[in-house]
Amino acid sequence: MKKVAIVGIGMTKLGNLWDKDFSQLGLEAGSKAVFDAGLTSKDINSLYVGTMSSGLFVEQEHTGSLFSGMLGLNNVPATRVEGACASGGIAIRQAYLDILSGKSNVSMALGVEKMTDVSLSQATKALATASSQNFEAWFGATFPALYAMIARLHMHKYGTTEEQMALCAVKNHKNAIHNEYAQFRKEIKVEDVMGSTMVSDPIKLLDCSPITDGAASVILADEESAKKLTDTPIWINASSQGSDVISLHERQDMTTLSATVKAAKDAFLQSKLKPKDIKCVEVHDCFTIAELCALEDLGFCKKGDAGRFIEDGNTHLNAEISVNASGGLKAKGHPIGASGIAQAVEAVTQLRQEAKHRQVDDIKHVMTHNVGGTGGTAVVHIFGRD
Amino acid sequence: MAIPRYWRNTQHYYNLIGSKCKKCGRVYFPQRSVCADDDSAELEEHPLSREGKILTFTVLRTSLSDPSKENTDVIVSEMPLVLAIIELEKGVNVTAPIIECEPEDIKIGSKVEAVFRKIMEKGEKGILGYSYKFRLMR
Ligand SMILES: [Zn+2]
Repeated sequence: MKKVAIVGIGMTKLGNLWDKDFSQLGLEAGSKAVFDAGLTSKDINSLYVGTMSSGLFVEQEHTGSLFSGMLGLNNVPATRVEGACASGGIAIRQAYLDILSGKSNVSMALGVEKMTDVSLSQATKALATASSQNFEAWFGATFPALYAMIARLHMHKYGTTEEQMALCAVKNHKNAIHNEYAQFRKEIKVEDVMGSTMVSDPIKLLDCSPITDGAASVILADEESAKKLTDTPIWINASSQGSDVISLHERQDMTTLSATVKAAKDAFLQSKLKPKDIKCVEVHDCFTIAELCALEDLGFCKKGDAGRFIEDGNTHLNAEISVNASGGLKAKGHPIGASGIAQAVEAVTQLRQEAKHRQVDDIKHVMTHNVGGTGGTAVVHIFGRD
Repeated sequence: MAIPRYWRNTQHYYNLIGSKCKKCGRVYFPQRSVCADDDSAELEEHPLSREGKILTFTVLRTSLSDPSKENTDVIVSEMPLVLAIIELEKGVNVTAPIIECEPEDIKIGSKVEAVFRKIMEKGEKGILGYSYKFRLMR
């Protein structure tokens, strides 16, 4: 099997970046990644752009061409991919497959989203396009409402508590203090989460990831190119993707994301690793309940046990498994199409031992988990030092 | 939602008419012309049960939009909006608002019945959209 490595990473600060345009964000992240790889833009053979809803957020489609031009690429194939909040993870996977196919030696994945140019209600409406328009959004269902129904059922079936969910937000905020790219670098307490505005019971404002502008990029290379470029290539040990029905109500078990289960199973098979080999994972915590479901569906604890697993402190930095050392979507920020790539940037930073105060000790592998919608799409990657 | 799209949807979707495989009896909503389980193309129209039970729910507290300022459909719902996933028949669930209730009265397992209600207004003089909502059975 051919090997593919990440040889360059770049990202922008995440947050409400009123002074930066959609295209500037992508240019900044992409250029940083090219520079980090020690390459020039002319060395890139293909580009995959992950953006969920640039049409609704900034009235710009055709983003493959836009960023190929901005970055000065050499008329190479430039393709936009979309899988809601998993667009970034899909972009990495497509770049990976392009290299495996032999069509490219060096490819770029770039994720960009500019969400704050529209009002909060327009942003909520744009995000709701990732659910079924005919059977969910039409009835007034928003993403907080859909995840709230998952949370309610999880509490009912397994005795999960709101405080256990709040602990995810508290831990992720704590980790983000040490991440210079993070949107929120401020500690919060369980009482702050519990006392924050009720959005959709039982989901409160501080259970939700924020509206974020930002971009992230990684450069992938085949084994030969990677070894020439760097002494510390970070290898892609697994790249997998799963899908499921788009509507939450069509799932047999609404507390399980089958797309995640499938992608995780494939990823462990490809990498010949087991959950206990993973000591650092970036999971898709768009809401705190999503972090609980992810830990169960990825195989790090039994179905229904995530609340207790978290309460026992297993997910803190350098505990049993470091979950969202970057601050996760909750505190680092969730620029939809860029989030999956920002996770990969964190994985590479950790494996290069460059994460400073949030560094996870003695890690050989990092997993990333990127979800679209309520679980209609899931992408899992495992990165490693060898 | 554009008028032709709403017109297409309303015929089956918003009247809760599914389809049933004559061979194995599986019920589909929305309708399908081929059964996913046995590839049979023999399916008949099947009006879904109008009664069901709540599998999970939430109370949405914040309104989505101020339609006076934005050119968008008005989803007609009072805040707070109780939204639920309702099991109508084995394997057939829908997401819909629960109306005419106090949020505190809703429980997982509560029995509900379908009613036909206005759900969308397109501008002040535009078309009105109707669809299923549910209320607690008395
Ligand atoms: Zn059948």
